[in-house]
Amino acid sequence: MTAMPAQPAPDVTDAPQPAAPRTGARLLVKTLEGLGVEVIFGYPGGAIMPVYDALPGSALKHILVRHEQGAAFAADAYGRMTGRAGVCMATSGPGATNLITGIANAYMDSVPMVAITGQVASGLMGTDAFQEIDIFGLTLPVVKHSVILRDPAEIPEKVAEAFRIAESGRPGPVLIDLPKDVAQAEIAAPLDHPRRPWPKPAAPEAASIETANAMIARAEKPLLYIGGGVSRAGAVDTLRALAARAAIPAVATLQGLGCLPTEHDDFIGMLGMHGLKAANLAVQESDLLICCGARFDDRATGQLETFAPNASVIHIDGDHAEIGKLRRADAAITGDLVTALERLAPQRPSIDGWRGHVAALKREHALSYDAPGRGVYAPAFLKKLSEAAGDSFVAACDVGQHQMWVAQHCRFSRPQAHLTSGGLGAMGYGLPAGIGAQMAAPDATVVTVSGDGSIMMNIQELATLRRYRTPLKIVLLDNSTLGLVRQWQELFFEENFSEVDLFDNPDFAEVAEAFGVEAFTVARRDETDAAIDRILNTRGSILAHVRIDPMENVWPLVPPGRSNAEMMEA
Amino acid sequence: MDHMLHIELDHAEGAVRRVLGVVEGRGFEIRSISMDAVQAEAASMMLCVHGRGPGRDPDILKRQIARLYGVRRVGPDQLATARSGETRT
Repeated sequence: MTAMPAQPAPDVTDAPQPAAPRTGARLLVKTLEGLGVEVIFGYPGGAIMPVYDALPGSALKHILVRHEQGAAFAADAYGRMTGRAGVCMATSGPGATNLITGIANAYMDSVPMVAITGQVASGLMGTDAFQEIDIFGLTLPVVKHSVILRDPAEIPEKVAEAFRIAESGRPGPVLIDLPKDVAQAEIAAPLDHPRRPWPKPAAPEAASIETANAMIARAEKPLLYIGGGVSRAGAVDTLRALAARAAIPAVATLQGLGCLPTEHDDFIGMLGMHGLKAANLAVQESDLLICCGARFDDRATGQLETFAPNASVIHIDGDHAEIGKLRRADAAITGDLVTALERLAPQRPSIDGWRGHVAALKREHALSYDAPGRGVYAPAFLKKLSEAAGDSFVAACDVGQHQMWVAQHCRFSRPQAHLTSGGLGAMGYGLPAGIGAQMAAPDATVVTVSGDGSIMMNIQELATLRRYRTPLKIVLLDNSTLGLVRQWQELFFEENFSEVDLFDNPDFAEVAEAFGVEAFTVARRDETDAAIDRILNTRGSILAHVRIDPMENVWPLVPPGRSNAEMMEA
Repeated sequence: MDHMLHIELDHAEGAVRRVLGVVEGRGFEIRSISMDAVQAEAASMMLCVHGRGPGRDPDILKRQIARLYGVRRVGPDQLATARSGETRT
């Protein structure tokens, strides 16, 4: 089954032994082995060649992608699945710049990642040398931390520190830039460095938890507002225990989906721009929002001034800098999320009336699947697929209408079941993310859900899929248009359909087959069940090319800049 | 309105531009900078910053700087320059 967070690294300590001279590159590889790294997604090139020279014979499994962006997205997904830093590697210059979108993706969604880039030799840095780019400077706004390894003797300690920073507290990407001369230098440095488990975050202050508990006891309409920080902190079980203990209705952000199983009695659904109407209405009516690891993102809140207008806020977050950033917190709990949630709401509040009201909202605004026509109805297709796959289902989404349909309609048993580019919204994420997820969880039923726009952004990774015989399933929802942009042009730009028509797409089934990936096309609704059976019963990889209606829209929708109370519906 | 920030940070490669990048990136204009001579391991900066448009809270900015690795302390007090080796706030 799926690898879960915080498994201890094997204790590979050869520090006490006299250190034999080795190159900086070999020292890096040995350090990565010692830290328990198993997989690296990467692509070789000039400045990183010493590290590739040191890879053969190591315990590291290198996955050769076909574009560095694919390496970064795959490492991101690996990090989301395992809770340990996904590792990607590229050469200097264009290799490094191609990683940036993936690094930014990890930063926006607080995903543990270590990105290793080759760099030109130290003496050439700053001279505009061939393939020299200041990747340290370019990535500063989108990394949690970064380091240029100037001294080979520092490699074990600095690399271990990079993993500690990436994985602890609020996770994020850390960049390691390695000049070629440092990689080639010979040094007799010991492999002595810190190892997991990293120190736990500080426990939250007892007084802040008491304040919060007093607010919960007084509240008449409390609501849990669950974000991605819960799973990043390894607090899913604790949250589920809290939900069982306190029986407070809950909504989730895009990144918080799966923290409570979709079918949980007190779980209403996703809030926000494409959230469920019941979820948004419950938020607007609530008198206490208990925000767990969420950050009041604009896609979740809609117009901030009118978001949850009657609610006090308890904000629980591992990152002190998130408190009050967008919404004032009446009580703030920072530090270890697990401890915070363990101590929250020791008694069940008396809110039966509110729970009943929320349950009625949920029934009244339940999603329906009786769309007219005989074409494939994507929401129903995705819902059936996720239910048929069961608890092993993992969706690796691309970005667009299909991404929102997955969030709205699929069943998620755990947060790792939903890998999606939330903060960055990066088209091209789905296919490499599916590969990374499948590498992290070989037995999971990983399904990349993509669109005809998104798939083309990293379609070269079909070659990676084929090379490693990765049993990833791909559902490609093809409406021959950039659907979400087209939808916005229809609704907010007076139907001025500008540059969204993808009528000249290739035949995707033929493209997949050219890469050696089995593929078939689905065009009719009555083919849905057979298609799902074929997808789930294929041992290897398969691409289902699903043609859908280009006029289909994502509903409901909160217009940009409007209150979440003003949802547009079909 | 101008705000003064006093920042103590490890003397490490990229530390200064990392701090300045956060200030600019979070919507503040840097009106003045001064920096003491770098000691062996630490540096001390004084920044005068000004929010670009409404809603830019200097207290949030301080916390966003404080969470950077290598930043030891962020505060408004110049007296803090006399103290060294404190953990980050």
